[in-house]
Amino acid sequence: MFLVVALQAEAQPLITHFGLRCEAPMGMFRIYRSESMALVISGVGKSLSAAATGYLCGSSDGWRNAPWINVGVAGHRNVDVGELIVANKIVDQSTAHSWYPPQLVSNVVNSTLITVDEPEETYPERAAYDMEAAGFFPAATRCSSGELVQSIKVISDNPHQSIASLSARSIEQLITKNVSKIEQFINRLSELSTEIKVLPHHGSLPESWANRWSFSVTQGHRLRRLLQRWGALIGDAETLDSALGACKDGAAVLTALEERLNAEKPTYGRSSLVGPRVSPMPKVHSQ
Amino acid sequence: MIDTLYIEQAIATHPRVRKIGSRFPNANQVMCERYGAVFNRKSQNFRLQKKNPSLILAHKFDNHVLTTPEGYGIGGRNNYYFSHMLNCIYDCRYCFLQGMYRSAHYVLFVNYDDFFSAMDAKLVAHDGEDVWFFSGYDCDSLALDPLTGFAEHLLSYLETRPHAMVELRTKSTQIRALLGQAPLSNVIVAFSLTPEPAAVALEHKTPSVAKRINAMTQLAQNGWRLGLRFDPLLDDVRFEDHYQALFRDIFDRIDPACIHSITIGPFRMPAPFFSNVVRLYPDEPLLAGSFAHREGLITYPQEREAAMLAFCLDALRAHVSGDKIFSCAVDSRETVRADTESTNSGLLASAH
Repeated sequence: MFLVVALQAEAQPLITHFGLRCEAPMGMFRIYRSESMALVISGVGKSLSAAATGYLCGSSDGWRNAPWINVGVAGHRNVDVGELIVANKIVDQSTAHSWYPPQLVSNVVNSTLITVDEPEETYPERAAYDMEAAGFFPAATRCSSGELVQSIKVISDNPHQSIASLSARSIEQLITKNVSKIEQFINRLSELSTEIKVLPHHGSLPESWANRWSFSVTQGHRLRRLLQRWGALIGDAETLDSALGACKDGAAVLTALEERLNAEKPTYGRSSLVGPRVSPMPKVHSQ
Repeated sequence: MIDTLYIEQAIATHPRVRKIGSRFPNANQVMCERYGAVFNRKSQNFRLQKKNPSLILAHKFDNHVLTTPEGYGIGGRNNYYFSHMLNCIYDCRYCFLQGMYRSAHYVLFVNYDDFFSAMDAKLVAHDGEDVWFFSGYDCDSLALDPLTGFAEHLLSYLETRPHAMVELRTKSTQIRALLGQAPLSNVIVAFSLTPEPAAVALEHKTPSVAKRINAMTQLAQNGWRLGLRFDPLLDDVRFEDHYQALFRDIFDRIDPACIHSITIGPFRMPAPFFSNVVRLYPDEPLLAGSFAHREGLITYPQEREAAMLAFCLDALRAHVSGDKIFSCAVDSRETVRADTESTNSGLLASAH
């Protein structure tokens, strides 16, 4: 779970709520982490938001197909201060370019979000206004699938309550009041991300294997697919070990696996048994 | 059912858009320039979107009617297909749409009349000949019909075009528009069927096979001509038992005289699409089976495929004459042609 936040005041309630700790030494951007979450403070503006997203990605593991969320405050012409919105369309006002974050989470308030270069005080359209989302979204969708990349904003100003009245303290209060809703949204995205997180594409060969056999890059690709098939059809690591016991080299492993898999009889019943994936097959690393 | 409705700005005031929009009063309406900005974007996951697909209302500007690949057909010489929708409300694990599209959102093209104009142009190009138009390649022809109303418009168009032959391919039981009017001899309502255990395991959110057979029975009783589409044929250790039972269940209820055509096609999918689907569902046993790579398609091994086809051909011939049976297998066309003396078949995998 990765959060990109413009201001310290916006971040502080999240840092406190999720028990994040400041990472040292500090680099280009300040990063806070726990075991399951990382938060970067980008500063104001879409360029900094894109840069901070890239920086957080480059300094983290597990970023692929993880939830990436831009949290902050925004103005809105029609929404009350303190309400939480999720952007279903992000518009870069300076280029007129638009993005459409796919909306899979129900029961949230959605809005168009227009990213502006200067604070918007007249709210000309029925939309939210911020200064980061149009930088964040295209950068974060390099790391993850669009469904998991979202901008959520607490409305901080509108035609009845000017942006000039905002302070660090009031921003902190606005985020604090919404922190449980933000957490619910984060949790929902986390659940969704588990659906696509367990693809066995990365990682290393189990240690016991690495000591016995080596695989070329091409063999490694083939091995991954065979292990994936094994996981889907048989899924038993002990049977796997016994099937490969006599193999002298990597090529023999591949042949044995393929023959064993091709001998497996197809049954419709197997497909009805597919449930939540809890036990991915060993990860493979080409040597 | 639909939380988010994307609407192309240029058709926001189209009466059909307003009507469909009014069916989802609580949906968020998001204006977009062109549907591709939502539908074709990179960094989308079909599997995730299938959990809560949105509806995109769009205008199709060109290519309303396309030529089918050579050899595709059910007995006619002039064969075309069209798609007034992209994607489908069902979630069949063998469907090639999962591997073809980045998005699982439904796209509905609301300019129905432009499809009919394009069909007219083909009728003019083949003056005096029958022209076949296949619907249901990129979507299910009828599944969303209560929302789209497309079938009613299409049937009205077909009433005065006897040379326009249309196949509506479906797994749905949404047949109200058909039952509400006199049958048309130029319409074939073609049902996609797999044995019930396969449907339960692999065809998520679809009506049961029994319900599909019920719908076929109703249509037949009302004079509509039917098609049976066993495509894809799906292998199983009890393949013969399952398909024999399926054929028996169908022909116990349906008079073979009501059957216009039967298509059989073993599982096949373009290799790049197959890779995409495996990436989406790495734990799906169906996709982990033993397959061959032939002519750019992922298929069952040739020998097994031939055995599956031969069994089905024999079993079906016990119910209907061979000239009603067509094959969509990669290598089997010559076999089927020799066996049944039929002259058309096809390579194209249909979604439904």
